[in-house]
Amino acid sequence: MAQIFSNSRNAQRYRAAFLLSLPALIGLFLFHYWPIAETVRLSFTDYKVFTGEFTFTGLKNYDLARSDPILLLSLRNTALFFLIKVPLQMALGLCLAMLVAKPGRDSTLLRTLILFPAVTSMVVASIVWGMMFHSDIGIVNSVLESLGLPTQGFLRDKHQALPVLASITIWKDVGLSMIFYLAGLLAIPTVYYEAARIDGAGRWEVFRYITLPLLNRTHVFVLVTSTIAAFKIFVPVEVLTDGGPSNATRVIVHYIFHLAFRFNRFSYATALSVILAILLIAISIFQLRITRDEDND
Amino acid sequence: MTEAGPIAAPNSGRPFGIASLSRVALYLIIVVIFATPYLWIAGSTFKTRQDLFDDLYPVSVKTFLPSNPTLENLTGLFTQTNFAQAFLNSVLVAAMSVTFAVTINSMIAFVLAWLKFPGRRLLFLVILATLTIAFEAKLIPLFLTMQQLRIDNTLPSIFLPWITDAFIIFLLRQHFAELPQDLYDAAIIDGCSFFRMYWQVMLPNIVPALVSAAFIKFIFSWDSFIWPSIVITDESKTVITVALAKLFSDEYIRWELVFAGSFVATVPVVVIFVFLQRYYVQGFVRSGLK
Repeated sequence: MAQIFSNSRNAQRYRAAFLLSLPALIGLFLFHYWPIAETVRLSFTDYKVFTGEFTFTGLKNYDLARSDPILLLSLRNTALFFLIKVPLQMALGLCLAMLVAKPGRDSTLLRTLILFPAVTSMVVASIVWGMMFHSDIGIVNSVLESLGLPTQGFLRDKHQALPVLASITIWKDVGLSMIFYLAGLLAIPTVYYEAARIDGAGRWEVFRYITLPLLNRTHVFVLVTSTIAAFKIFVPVEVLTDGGPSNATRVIVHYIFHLAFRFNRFSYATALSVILAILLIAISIFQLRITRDEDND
Repeated sequence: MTEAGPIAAPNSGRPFGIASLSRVALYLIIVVIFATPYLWIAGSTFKTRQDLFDDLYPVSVKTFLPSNPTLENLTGLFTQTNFAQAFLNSVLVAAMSVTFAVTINSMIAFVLAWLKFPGRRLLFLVILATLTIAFEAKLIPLFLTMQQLRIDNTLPSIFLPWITDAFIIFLLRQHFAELPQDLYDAAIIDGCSFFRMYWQVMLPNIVPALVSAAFIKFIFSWDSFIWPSIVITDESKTVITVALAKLFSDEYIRWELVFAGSFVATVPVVVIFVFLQRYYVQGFVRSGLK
């Protein structure tokens, strides 16, 4: 194809292509690569509040991080949050997808309803569920009382606060997981099901030996994306608990945010940002590898 | 669970069998969990503060339906707080985000799909690599950069960082790349320039993907909270999520206004979603599983 054009025509094409790419390249540099490099650089400095200067201090911030009990607590709470949220969200996402996979009006309506939270602000979701779970004036305790059950502390109880926050984010995010599973389900060729039926497989066997393994790529995708989202949990904590009660919901992004923007500890906060970024990449790679190994079995 | 797979068991024909009863019960539970918060917001928005609290114990139909409907909360929200301004700011920020994001990302996506140049795979990978770094890990230098450029505390400082979006570049490149070679060849023979190829030949053919990208960016912008709460300190430049969180964190919470604010922040998006749902779902599915 190329040889039928003159060189000037080609040069023109490259110039146009360069101009078309330029805005995005500038944006990528200014708002993606540059801040990443700066985050790393600032993590080796010390920020002086009074002069606004960053002075090089080597690994000091990272040494500080190693013996920071609140960082350890934040990471532990974040991991706990991930352990509650991700398995539940994946299981519920898959179940809901199977429920709405059947074509029909009720499936379509249900699908739309389950996706409403996905387009609702996390702030609104946090506020409305925070009020529903309010220990004094919440609907949930009101219902419990009507049923003659003991009312709960929910967000004021240090054992219940994190699971309640996880439930709120599951409510918000499960719709998207459902959509990915639905796409995965619809991509499974029906011949597999027909063959299984002819072989006399029961519904559980069909699910266990056909549906579940053939969704492997979907599992990996939903697992990795929802894990990253879980580790970045911030909004419900900021809006509802501010890390409490007694640090039970102090999570990593919330801790970084407050170090930087409430206490002006920019340098230390960037070191923790670097740790967070490396952690997220490491977890994603780890999850991709173990799921790939399963694939090869 | 038992209705596994796309070929679910056909209805038994008996309208009130055990299976269909349990299915109805399951549907009911799901509807209650997903619809209750919306019904509660909508109902409470039009209640007086007194009714709001009175109707909570015990929970009944009254909890979700105003017995003495009033518009006081909505008018109070817009006259006694800065919510009208915040709403307008959110609309502006979302409109700018969508316009710039769709334009800028579709341009480079087109180049990546249709210009054969050395290193284009590498460039694509370098762009996709930005997806691995969480936005949350870049907050501090972004904030300092905005200060240095002296554009912190302005509406552009909110949307500038998220205009270029590797997710959208990926999504649109996929769609551009799937357009037939014939379309390209025919345009070349007609003497079409590379820019017109993008604008007049290719772009009109991926409109559904553009709508997907636009709506996903709109939702992202409308939902954003952490970045605007950092970069904006001026009350008059605040956005709806930040204004709502502030209303909720007041020493003396005006619950009736919190409901009205949640209502205003949610209704437009949900209504748009009902119409654009297909594009929203397609956007995620197409980019997620390829």
